Formats: sequence, structure tokens, C-alpha cells
Amino acid sequence: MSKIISIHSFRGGTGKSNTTANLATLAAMQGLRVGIVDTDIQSPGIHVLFGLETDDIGNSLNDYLWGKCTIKEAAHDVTSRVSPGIPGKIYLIPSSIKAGEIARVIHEGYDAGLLNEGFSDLLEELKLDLLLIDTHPGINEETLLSLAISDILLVIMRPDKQDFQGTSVTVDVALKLGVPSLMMLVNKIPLQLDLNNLKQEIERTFNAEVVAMIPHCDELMSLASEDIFAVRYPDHAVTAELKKVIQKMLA
Amino acid sequence: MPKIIAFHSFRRSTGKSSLAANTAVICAQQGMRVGLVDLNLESPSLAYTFQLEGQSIPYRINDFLWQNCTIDQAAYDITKHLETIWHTNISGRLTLVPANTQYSDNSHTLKDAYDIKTLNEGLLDLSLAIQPDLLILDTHAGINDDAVFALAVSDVLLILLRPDRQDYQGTAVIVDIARGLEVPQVGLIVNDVPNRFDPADVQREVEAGFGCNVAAVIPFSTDMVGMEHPRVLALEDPQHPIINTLREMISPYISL
Ligand SMILES: Nc1ncnc2c1ncn2[C@@H]1O[C@H](COP(=O)(O)OP(=O)(O)O)[C@@H](O)[C@H]1O
Ligand SMILES: [Mg+2]
Repeated sequence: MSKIISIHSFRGGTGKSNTTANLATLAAMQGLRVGIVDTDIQSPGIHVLFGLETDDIGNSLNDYLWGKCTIKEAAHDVTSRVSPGIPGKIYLIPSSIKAGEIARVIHEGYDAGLLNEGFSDLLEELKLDLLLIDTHPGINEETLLSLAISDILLVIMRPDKQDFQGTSVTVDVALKLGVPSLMMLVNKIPLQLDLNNLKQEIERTFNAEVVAMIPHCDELMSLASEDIFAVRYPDHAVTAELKKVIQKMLA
Repeated sequence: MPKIIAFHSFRRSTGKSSLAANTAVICAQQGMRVGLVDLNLESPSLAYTFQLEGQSIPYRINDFLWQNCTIDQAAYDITKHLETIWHTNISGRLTLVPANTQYSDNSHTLKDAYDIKTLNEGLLDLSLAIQPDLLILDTHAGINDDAVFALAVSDVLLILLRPDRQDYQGTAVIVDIARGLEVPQVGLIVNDVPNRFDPADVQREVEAGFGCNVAAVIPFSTDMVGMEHPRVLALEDPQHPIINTLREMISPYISL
């Protein structure tokens, strides 16, 4: 059974791309075939975590949306870039980093229906077990459509007031769309906060399961998106927390 | 026109709004008349940062862009308000043009792209109405019409980035756009630098990488984080190292 998982946050910079890349890697380490689509067209970035430079990106999601290629042709096999000997597969469909192409997609918008078709093509043609969607933050039409077809929505938030407010909007929308499973991940928690209290407060506020509580992590920040944290720090507490998330998603 | 300084970044959550807010305060504390315009319609934050929720704010920049008011109706002299809340004296003046924080209205504003001409005229009218020495623009992150417009009208562009590979690629694109638009002065601000990094190394590396002046390197700190509101350190703790860095950073840009 394949699953589509959207990773979303109301605001940017919450850790969506790092979390997505790490979850994909941990799943591939268990032998799963994983696809990642970067739908953060305005400020794409997850390709950087897999070591793709601007020139390494041939076909992008933009090309697919403009009918220039199939979505499979925009899929980059990045498995060996993560680490040699991973039993599964990681395919990344990156978004273009060229200014003109970013501007064009923002200007003209795109057909969200086509994007959804692309997701099902990917699942089928690449025989994926998991498809992770790294979304654009905030709520817009395109995001709504990818939330609507997701089996699991992972909402990432930082524990500050603006995120609390914004996240409640996202959670409301997810409930209205009938997303089958809603999971919350709290990231960048200041070290002085009490994790148990915070977790309870968030579960009470949003009436959803908190699947991971991740403190602010100096090692992760200093890694500067140059590498996948779970590969560099396989025994770190943050990696252990992310492994739990993958187990919950696969359950 | 007064001097226009825009704060921009390729990625979100780089600290753009918070540094723009603090810089505006620093300049007002030095006796300047400062206009601060929230052009970050996607996630506006300045009214919130300055704790204006309880105040009556009948109009915002959104209303002006939709031609429901004139720009000066959406401009608020918040000097007294800041002095009262933060128990401090400000010798200059700070006028804020806030944006709408009603999440539901955002989608409306963003989708029906407004006329860039309207915004241009707005900045002119605002300058006539409040006679500022300096206009500071807080933009919408990324590559988008609003941001390109803000870049095009600015005399000084300060581009925020974090020392993260994801920021580097996108920032290079922004620097290119700024060069294409011939923005007179461009400076990079590297924010959230992990404490284990040497700021001098970071500065050298970033300057070499972008061929662009680094205006400031700011270490990672949680001092701006507050329980209810973000802390405006320029008001709360004017001698904080980050504020001293910002003061030093801005001085060459605002001297005549
Ligand atoms: N738990 C954490 N502790 C410290 N830094 C983090 C943590 N999670 C993410 N970061 C940093 O925050 C920045 C934004 O992360 P990213 O994954 O790109 O977020 P998004 O995709 O939501 O914009 C990156 O520089 C990353 O290194
Ligand atoms: Mg991202």
C-alpha cells in the first residue's frame, strides 16, 4: 500500500525540508521506495540537502507543469548521493531555481489538477511506497489540493504564538478536507521549555497527535543543509525521534 | 523622495521583519523621521511586533492597494505608543504602514495581484504626507512581483540570509536580480550564525561567494524571542550586542 504524505507548516523556516529529507532517507534505509516532490515553487530548497547543484537539475517540476516533460522524466534518483548501500530508493522531483522560471510559475499559477495527476503517475511508474510532498507554507489553492489527496498530513510548527495561531488555521482546513490522518511535529523547541507540558498543550489545542518533539539542535543548524542529519548523526536523539515518526507513518 | 531601504530575503523566516523593525527604531532613536512599510502581505508581522492589536487600525496597506483609502489614512505615527509601552524616549518619529494580519484576507490580496503603479504612487504620496528622512520596506520573501518592485525603487537593498546551503543558491539569484535592476547599494546580512562559527570567516566566505558587500554578521540568539510578542530589542535593550551591530551596520547607509 503506497501512501501520500504532505509536510506542511503555516510559516516558512519551520524545518519542513530538513524533516522531509530525513524522513525519506530513514524510510529508504529500511528498503522503501520513496519519492519527494518539492512544491515550494517560490523558494525551492530541498534539492540542496541531496547535494544537487543548480546545474545538476535537468527537468524540474516546472517543466512538468508546463507540459515539457513527464513527471517521471523530472524525477532524479538521489539515493547514492545520500549514502552508498541504501537498500531502498529516493527519487526527488525538484522545483526550478532559475529566477525566470520561478517568476513565471508565480505569475501564471499552475494547474493543481495536473500536479495531482503527476503524484499518481509517480506512485505507479516508480512503484513508490511513500510519496512525500514538501509544500509551500501557508494556505493557498494549490496547497489545499495536495492536502486533500494526502493519506497523512504532517504539520510542523515551532512553539511560538504566531505559529500557534497560523497552525490552527491549517488544522481547521485539514479537518474540513477530511485528511485521514493528521500528525503534528514540533520543531526548534527552545531548550528551556518543558517538553511534556508543551506536548500536552499542543495536543489539547489542536486535538491531534504530536508525533515528535524536536528541540533546537546546534548540530543540525551547523550542518547548514549540506547533508542529511540522520546519515551524519545516526545515533543522535533527533534521529531517534524522526525514526519514531516514520514508524507511525508506516503503521 | 527620501532614501529607501528595503529588507529582503530569498527564503522566509530569515529574520527580515524583525531586523527591519529594529533598524527603523534605531534610526528614529537617532532623531530621524522614519516611515516603515509592511509589504510582506503574505505574512505581515509589524503591527504585531509593535503590539498594536489593541489599537484602532481602520486601514492598512491592503486597503490602500485595493483603493479603499489613501496611503496617509493607512499610516500611523506610533512614536507615542512605543514610548508608552516601552517606557522610553524617541527623539525622532516612527510612522508605520501596517499590512493586514487577518489570515483569511491574505489569499484575496495575493491572488488578485494589485497594480504596481498604485504602490509606486503610494510611496510618493506617503513621502509627501509624512516627509520622512527614510523609508524602510519590509518585503515578501522570495521572487515575486511585490519584492521585485520593492527592489526596483530602493536606494539600499539589504538581503538577509542564513549560513545555510539552501539560502546560498536562492540568494545568488536575488543578488543577480538586484544587479539587473541596478540597485545603487546592496549589502548582505548573514543572520542566525551558529555560535561555533567565526563571524570573520563567515563574512569572508560570503563576500567571496557573492562578490557582494557583507553589511553585518549576526550570531544565532534567542534573545528576540518573547512569550507573547517578539521582543523589540532596540526598544527594550538598546545596548544589546545585536542592536549595536545593527546600529553600526546602518550608519554608512543613512549618513548623507
Ligand atoms: N531542530 C532544529 N534545530 C536547529 N535548526 C534547525 C532545526 N530544524 C531546522 N533547522 C534549520 O532551520 C532552517 C530552515 O529549515 P528548512 O528545513 O529549510 O525549513 P523549511 O523547509 O520549512 O523552510 C535550516 O537552516 C535548518 O538547518
Ligand atoms: Mg523548504
